Amino acid sequence: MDSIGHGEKSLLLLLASDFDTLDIPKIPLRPADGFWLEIADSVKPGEHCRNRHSDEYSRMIKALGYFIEIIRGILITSRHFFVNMFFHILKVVGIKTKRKGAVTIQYPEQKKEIASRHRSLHRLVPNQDGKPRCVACMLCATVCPSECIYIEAAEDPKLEMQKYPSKFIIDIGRCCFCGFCVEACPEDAIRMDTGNIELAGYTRDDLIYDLDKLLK
Amino acid sequence: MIEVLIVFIKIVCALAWFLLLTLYLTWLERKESAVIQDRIGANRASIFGIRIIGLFQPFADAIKMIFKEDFVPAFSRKFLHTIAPFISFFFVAITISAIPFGDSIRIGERTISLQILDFNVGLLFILAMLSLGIYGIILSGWSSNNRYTLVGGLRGAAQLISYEVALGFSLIGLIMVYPSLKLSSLVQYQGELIFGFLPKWGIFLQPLGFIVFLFAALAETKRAPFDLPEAESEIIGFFTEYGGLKWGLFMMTDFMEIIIISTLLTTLFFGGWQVPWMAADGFHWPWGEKSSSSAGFRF
Repeated sequence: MDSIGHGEKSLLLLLASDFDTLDIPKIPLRPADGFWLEIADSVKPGEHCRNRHSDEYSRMIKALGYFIEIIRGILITSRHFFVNMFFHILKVVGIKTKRKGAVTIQYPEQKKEIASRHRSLHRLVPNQDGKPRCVACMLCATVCPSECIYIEAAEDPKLEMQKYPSKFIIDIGRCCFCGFCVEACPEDAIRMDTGNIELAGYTRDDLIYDLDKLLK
Repeated sequence: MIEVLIVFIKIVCALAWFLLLTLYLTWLERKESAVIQDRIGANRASIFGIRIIGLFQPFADAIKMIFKEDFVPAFSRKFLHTIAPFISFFFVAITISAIPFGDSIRIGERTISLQILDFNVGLLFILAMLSLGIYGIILSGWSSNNRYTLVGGLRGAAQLISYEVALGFSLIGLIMVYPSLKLSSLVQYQGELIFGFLPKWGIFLQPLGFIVFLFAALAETKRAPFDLPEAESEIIGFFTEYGGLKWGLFMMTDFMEIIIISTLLTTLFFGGWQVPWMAADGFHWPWGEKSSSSAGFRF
């Protein structure tokens, strides 16, 4: 990179070989242009500052470093392969080991335990008489960011309730499981602790959960 | 008539065997990468509830690919787009014909050589066909009318042509040692011994040629470190606009190329079907002691 200037000079001299060297004006040089005399100039296009002032040896050491890292990477890969293969073979042979060849949990047969605070499918907490504890205050429907809760309130003859939800629909297809409805509920009537996380359905209607489904 | 039938049977057997190997190479690749990454890999495909570590997976994949929609993009050149994967597959599949699987066997009066066609120029034929496979890549890249596929196709062509040179030159030394291009006689030459004990394999005669050939062949297969035409992380590759069975053909071509290159490597550098020190009358230890093959190995 620092030899570009010198290359130009020799090329120009070659072109002007039929002249006497004294005839042509000297190629204007920057002051102090020479080996290791130049002070730091601006970065040329296509040049990265980390590549400057590097000599052969430092470049060689760098390349060696890359090479070592490649080999280390291959060693890590092959270590994983051989260690895992060893435990797989032990399993095939029938020797029980604490460690396994793979960290895979084979889902439908094996299930991981759900954490106690995991937000799963909603449920409505029932009263002693089996009715939902909900008083249709609409706080959950208001706070819901994906607007997936639809409540229709009806009048309750009981004095401490006064309102009850005649319709309580959660569209699970829209729900983002943020849990705001649970936090907003003043009556602790809605919870997300069923532990049911397998909510797939064949139609969109399968994903609309009404009062009966939610009270279960 | 019977000759034609024999050749036909040989072709069918060889092709079926190679396709089976190809299918299971996909399975092997999935399993191997799974083991490297602490996973299990494909193990779900089952027939009547029997799943032998996913050995049915390749067939499930094949069925899935066959029944997928045969999609041709509206902006592509239809004819070339359709024919490209077949060109690619054809030129790899045809190389099987020159690979020697074994010595000739005698059934009754007839001597059948375990090789479909014993060319005088078998080696050149294989190299030529492997180079012609580039046309499939270029055509697919160009006819898809998509910039990424075009870049992939051109990269594939550039890579294959450049490594073709190294591949050819690495074999010149070998061809000078074994004065033949006929693959069957190439294998027969390797049955001899050097210094009385070392089998006359290509790897012992031309170790440098072997290394060059190995790396050039790796590049030829367009697999992981040399996957310029596919390059999943940069351009999606020359088969971006393909789906279903046509894409599957490209994939099969890739894996089949690996097998062809491996067989070629064995034929040229590891004595082909020759077992070292094994002659027709039994096993000969290099120090002269003779033991019959039926009595087992004596030490």
